[in-house]
Amino acid sequence: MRSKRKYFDIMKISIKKIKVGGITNIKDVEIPMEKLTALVAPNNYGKSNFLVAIEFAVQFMAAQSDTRLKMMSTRNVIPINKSMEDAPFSFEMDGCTGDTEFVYGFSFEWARTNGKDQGSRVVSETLKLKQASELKYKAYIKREATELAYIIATSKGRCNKEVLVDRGTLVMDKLLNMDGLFYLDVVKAIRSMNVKRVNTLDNPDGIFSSPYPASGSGGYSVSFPKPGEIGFFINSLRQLDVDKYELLKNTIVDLLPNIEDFEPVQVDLSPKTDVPFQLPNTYFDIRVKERYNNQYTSINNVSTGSKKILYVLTMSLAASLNHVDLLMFEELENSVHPRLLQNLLQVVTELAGNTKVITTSHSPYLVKYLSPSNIQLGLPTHSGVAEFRAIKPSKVNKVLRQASAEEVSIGEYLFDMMLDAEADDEMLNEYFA
Amino acid sequence: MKKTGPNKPHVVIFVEGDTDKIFFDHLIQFYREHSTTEVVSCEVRNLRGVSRYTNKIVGKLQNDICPKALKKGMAVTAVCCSYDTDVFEYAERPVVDWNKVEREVKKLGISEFCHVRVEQMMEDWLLDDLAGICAFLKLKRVPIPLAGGTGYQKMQTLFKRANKIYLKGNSIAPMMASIDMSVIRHQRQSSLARLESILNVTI
Repeated sequence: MRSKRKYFDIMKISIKKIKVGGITNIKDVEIPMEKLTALVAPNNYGKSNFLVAIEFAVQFMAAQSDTRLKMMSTRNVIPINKSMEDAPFSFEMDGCTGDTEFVYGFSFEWARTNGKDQGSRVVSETLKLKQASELKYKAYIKREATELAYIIATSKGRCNKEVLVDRGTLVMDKLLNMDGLFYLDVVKAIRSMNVKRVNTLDNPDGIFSSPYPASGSGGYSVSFPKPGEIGFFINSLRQLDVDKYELLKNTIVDLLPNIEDFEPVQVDLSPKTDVPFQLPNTYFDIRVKERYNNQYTSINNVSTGSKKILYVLTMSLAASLNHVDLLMFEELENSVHPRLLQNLLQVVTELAGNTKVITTSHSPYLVKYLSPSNIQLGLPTHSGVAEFRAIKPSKVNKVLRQASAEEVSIGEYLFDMMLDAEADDEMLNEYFA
Repeated sequence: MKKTGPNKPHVVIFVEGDTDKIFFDHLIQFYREHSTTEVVSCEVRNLRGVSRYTNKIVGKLQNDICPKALKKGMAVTAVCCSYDTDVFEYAERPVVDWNKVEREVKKLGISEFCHVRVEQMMEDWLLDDLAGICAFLKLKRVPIPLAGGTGYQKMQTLFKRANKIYLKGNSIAPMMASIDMSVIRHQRQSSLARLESILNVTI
């Protein structure tokens, strides 16, 4: 018999798979989430769109009903590809929390400006749970219409308790208000899904220092930092978690041989005169001692590549400290020397701890260091929609033999396959799952 | 007057990455310091991965190593290839055809070809001197047993105790001064026997 107790384990999810569709040029993409997953494709294949879609779905889940209705007409993500004109947005995630495995998903219709039907409504929602030892999932939420859903309300009940919902409401909203619901912790864990997207494409100047961040409130905080708060975050880390600060510092110094030492500094620019209201005027900087310099300098004087690596590593550690479920990078290899990539991949996943990491990439150097199960290749389609597929497990040995015959890494071989795959359906079907 | 007589032998050890390069440089230094017989001239070359392995070896021997050796009155008489028998998570993964490598090396007139198989990976060899690594990391107690399924994972476990992340290549260089090479040599005698014979090492 299912016990209530087993749902009160850890309030943290581990994502196994994410499926999204009906957004930008993402028609129906399913990506298994490894500890590190790389979406590798040429430009304009939908790599970044996939990350945007996940971020959008998570924001949608967390939003209030009226905000969701507005999100259903978000102009820059509504699909305009001809083959997706009527596709609803759909999101589904497989994962586990404690011993409980779950599948949660929902879909909604985008706003329409033609015809009488204006769209803008949640049209389906599902939650299925099972214990790790069980074979089959059991439905806990069933919703196949806009206004009526069914849930399981008691541990011995069936999925037949009616719940009234409206166009912008998710059934999960209702469940969160049901005190004593025996799977409330699972619902809370799913709803608190935490994903962060880190932009490594922009110039990193300015991400380390800005006026005293509001999140500090005069003290220290190791909350996931926004751009401009990295100096504050590292300074707080030094005060609040010396071991993690040492870990970050040792890792950066080991990874970047040009950096001998660094330390966060707080600069107080507040006026010394007595004024009725003193504006926050404290800045943080990172002072860096580079190997061949005779003095410490501001992080702003360090090379762009070193700054980006420091940024990426800090965000990876911050993700772990803040129990981020999925950390998303845009082109992790950007500004990184190919020889550093291997170690960077290792360090990012180490610092990220239990946080899953996904990165977009164009780089044959990056794929060189990943196993086939970590690589999702963007493949050409005839309709312009994004398609990502991994090599079939049954074909890995064949590809390995072929790569070995050419004396290239399996990653490099797959990268070439991806580029050769243009309109070769036979090859796509033979090798890709 | 032009020098006559046979050239002195020279041995080349090819390795896959920075970790192995640093290790074998120290090993050769150890041999030179402790061998009672003169160690044959030797150099360690890092191929930085196993992609295009055969072409790289042949190219380097033909265009760089052999001509330079000749200028110094030496001839490359033996090539040793060292490789981990297992690979760590972020390593490249082509399989090298060793027979092909040997054939191509011998076509260059180099008579000796040998393998140094590092079981399972270089980290396993380094962990033979666990006390030395712990001293380097300033760990007061040697943790036994070490958590981790591979030498690489065990090394990560150790480094984490010192608030560090073990990085292949980067981490090993400063650590080597604390490693007792005689401990590793003793443990790995069978794997190193052929190399030591080629290098004329007697300890």
